[in-house]
Amino acid sequence: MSRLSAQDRLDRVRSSDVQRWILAVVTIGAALIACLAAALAAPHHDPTGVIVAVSLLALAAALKPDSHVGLGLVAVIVVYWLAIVRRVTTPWSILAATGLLIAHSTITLMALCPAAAAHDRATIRRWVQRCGSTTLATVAVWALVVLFDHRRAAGNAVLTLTALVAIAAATLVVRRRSMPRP
Amino acid sequence: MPAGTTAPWRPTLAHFRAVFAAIVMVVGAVLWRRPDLLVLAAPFAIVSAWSAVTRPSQPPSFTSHVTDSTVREGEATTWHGTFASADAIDSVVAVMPPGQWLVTRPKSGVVTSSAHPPGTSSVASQTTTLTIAVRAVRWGHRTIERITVTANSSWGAFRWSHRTQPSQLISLPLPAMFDSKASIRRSNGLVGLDRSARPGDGSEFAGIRPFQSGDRMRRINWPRSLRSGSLHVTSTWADQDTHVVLEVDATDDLGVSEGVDGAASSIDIAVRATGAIAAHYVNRGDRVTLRVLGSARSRDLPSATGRAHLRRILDTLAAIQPGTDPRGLVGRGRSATPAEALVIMLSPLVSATALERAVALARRGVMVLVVDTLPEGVVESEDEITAIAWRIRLLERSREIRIVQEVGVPVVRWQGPGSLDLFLRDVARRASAPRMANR
Repeated sequence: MSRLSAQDRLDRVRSSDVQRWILAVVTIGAALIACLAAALAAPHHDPTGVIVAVSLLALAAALKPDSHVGLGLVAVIVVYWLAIVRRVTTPWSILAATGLLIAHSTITLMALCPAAAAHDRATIRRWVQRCGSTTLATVAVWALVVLFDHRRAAGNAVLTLTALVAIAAATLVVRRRSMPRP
Repeated sequence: MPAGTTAPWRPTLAHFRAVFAAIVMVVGAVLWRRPDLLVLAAPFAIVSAWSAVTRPSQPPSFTSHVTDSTVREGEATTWHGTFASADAIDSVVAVMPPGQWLVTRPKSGVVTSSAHPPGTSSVASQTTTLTIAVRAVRWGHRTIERITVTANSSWGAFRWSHRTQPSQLISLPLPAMFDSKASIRRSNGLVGLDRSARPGDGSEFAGIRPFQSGDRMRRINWPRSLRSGSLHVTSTWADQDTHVVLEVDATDDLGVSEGVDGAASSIDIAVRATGAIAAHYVNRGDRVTLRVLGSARSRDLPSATGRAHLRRILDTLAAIQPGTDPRGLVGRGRSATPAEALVIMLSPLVSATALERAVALARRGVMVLVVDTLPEGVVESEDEITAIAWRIRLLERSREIRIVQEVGVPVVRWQGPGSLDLFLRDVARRASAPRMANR
């Protein structure tokens, strides 16, 4: 595995397209929005430390988009959410989900081509439209969650098992479609 | 060149991230009874499902080619990569690594293009083309390195990657401007633009003489014949060509080359000047021989004329690799130089061997003209000792050139159009005089 020198890294950063910088800023901003949404859902918590950590992770993910740093960023935000948010029907979850989606999308966009290149407008427009429709679907999921939460249903082992089986089946289907075909 | 169709679509880290995050969060939501996790997992689940459903079914059909494999230095050609079936392709990217003496547009060598996924447009499955302009900024054989082409599916979930084969690009030297009005009356040939020393079938008036058997009827000078009462004909000088032997000293490359737009090294000057002189004489219908000394890959070209021969000359010049032939200037083609030829030797003259060769040819009675191709400012060196060494060598060189000139071999700096005229006229004048040569 070749290691880049500091000068090579600096040259690579300097040769980056403006669009790349914009995507990096959007990545960091989206991750911070997800953190702030968690902080707003749990008002009595100081998010400073997490914001610093998430900012650094988002910056690292922007610098190395084709790596697992992005997954670490998502994991940190989700764990933070789980740790401090108690109200499961809070509408701030929509903002957090949207922030995660935008961060994931911008990291993916940056991974598609080298830093010196820029995506054309059609590609950016298409990704924005996709994010918009996915956000609408997320709002629908939140509405369903609120609806089911109002039912106050008791725990059901059969339903839980059915849900797990369904998740496993869906996972297998996605895995089967994801593996390289000869 | 078509791409191999065996390369499959492979899932990306982005797809793994989406699937993993969705599964973990949904399982966590079920096990820990946290339905808010379902909301956070929803975008990732949707992206994962969307990506899996729109996964391309088969590898794309990709072809690539370079528009022109031979260009003049400073000219550009274009690399085209075409996806014939853009089925389910979301975007395509091509990355051309930087090549020596090649400038790309865009400057980064990376181009991206958007393709329409099926169902979003009536133009789905249309071709998608990537284009990179490549400009050769110096003569020579250049290589367009392997270009990495990738196609991405929706949400960047799956990627198809391919590396093209390297392409050869021949950059012919851009001949410097050269023109000469001086005639070289020295040849055995009877075709060409120059006036021969003997009468024959030509266009330049020589005189009027009595009719002889074999004279053409159209040559009869009727006014003179009527006045004298006997048939007279108009005689002409035969037209002749010139045999020019171009010898390029490629044993060294001195100075800094910045390509066609910047400073020229000694071999740049020699190659461009040779191209210009060859083009001038070939276009006049003269015979030109090319000898490259000091380059292993360059073969000697026998005398010929015509546009095809000029192209061969430029091809040979483009293949020059200075200092690759260990034989150097010694022992190549000395006996093959015809006595009636004009030898134009292009050399930076840093080695006395080139001048010795010129003097040896001159002593055999061959007309020799040496063109000095040493660039200006070659002595400028940051190292003081190197600079002093250069100055000493250049002083010695000046003395050697002076001695050679006293022997009768003209040495001239290359200055473009007409720079050789004075010396060629001098050569022509001396050629018409009686001379003695060592045979």
